[in-house]
Amino acid sequence: MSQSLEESLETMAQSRIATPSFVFTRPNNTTQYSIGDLLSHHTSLATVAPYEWELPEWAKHIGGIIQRVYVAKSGDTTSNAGLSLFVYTQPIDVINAVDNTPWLSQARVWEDRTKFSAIIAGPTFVAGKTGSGAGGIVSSNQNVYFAPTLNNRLYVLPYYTQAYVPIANEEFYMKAFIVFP
Amino acid sequence: MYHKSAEKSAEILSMSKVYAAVCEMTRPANTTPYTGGDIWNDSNTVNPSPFIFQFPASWANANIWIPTIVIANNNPSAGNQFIFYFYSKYPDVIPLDNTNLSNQVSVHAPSLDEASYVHQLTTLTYATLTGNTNGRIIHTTTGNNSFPMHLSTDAKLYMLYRVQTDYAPLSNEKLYIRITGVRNYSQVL
Repeated sequence: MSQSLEESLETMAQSRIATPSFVFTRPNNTTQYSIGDLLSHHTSLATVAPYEWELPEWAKHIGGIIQRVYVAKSGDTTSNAGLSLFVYTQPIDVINAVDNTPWLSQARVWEDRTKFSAIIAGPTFVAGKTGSGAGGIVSSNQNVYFAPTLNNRLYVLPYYTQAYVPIANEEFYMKAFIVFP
Repeated sequence: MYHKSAEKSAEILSMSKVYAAVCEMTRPANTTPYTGGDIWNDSNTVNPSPFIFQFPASWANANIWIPTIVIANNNPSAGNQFIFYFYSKYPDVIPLDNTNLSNQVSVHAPSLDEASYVHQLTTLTYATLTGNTNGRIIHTTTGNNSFPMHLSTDAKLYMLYRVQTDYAPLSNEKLYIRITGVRNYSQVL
């Protein structure tokens, strides 16, 4: 009994950090993004779904802290590559935006108010600090608290905060370091 | 002794330390402009209410800090800034009656309720917000300004909402406020 308790205690203490991630590939075009435009691999209305940071099963209905966000991309363009992330604790329906169309001005913030968690000020890629050759990588400290989740997921919609010229089929990897106090 | 401590630790670790308390309020059916310093609540006739945030019953009398607040408003043109006044009991030194109706200059100075007053917090302005024509939303990370707040004996936090800058409201305009509270259990570990 005591052994089990100690093991449980150790497990619980160790399980308080999660590092979920997702990947996607943007469309096959080089159309410049405007400030506030959605970044997604979806190009058809009513098909856009938020990306998911899947948390451990025990994290269901628990709130936590997005301590750090890490973004990597296959393209090495750093100019105007600034992103921010809408984060929700429940899934939302994206009915009025697709990739490279306005999102910042179209988010249904009142309708989705109970699901909204945070807007994470985005990591900014900086030339010369993103690795060698192709690709870029950046991370930023956040310390953003989120309310208890509906299930063990956070839902994410990235958008550009700068007028970015992408490369075709650019790949993105977005990871969060999450602490549960 | 060790086992008892471990059991207690396990119990505490299993508790959720983060809780989101929500209060949504609808203002009166008029479009009377607010002037900086006015109170914002649900009545321009009788018995206006404070915002009330209910936390888990087990958090009664607890000290919490609130690192994050989400504020949504169904008025897309709202450009005002405002101040929250938080209380650990119903703010009733000056009764919330006809002296504190919506649109009236707030005379409910925190100092008059100092026994229960815990903190004031100036929020972001809606000018920095986003959203479509149906509303605006703020996500405020209060950081080091989120001083510990003491909850009431029934685990509530009360708040009065004062408009800081002039703005034109909607009739029956709605405010949704969610406070993410964090309880520190370490003192009982």
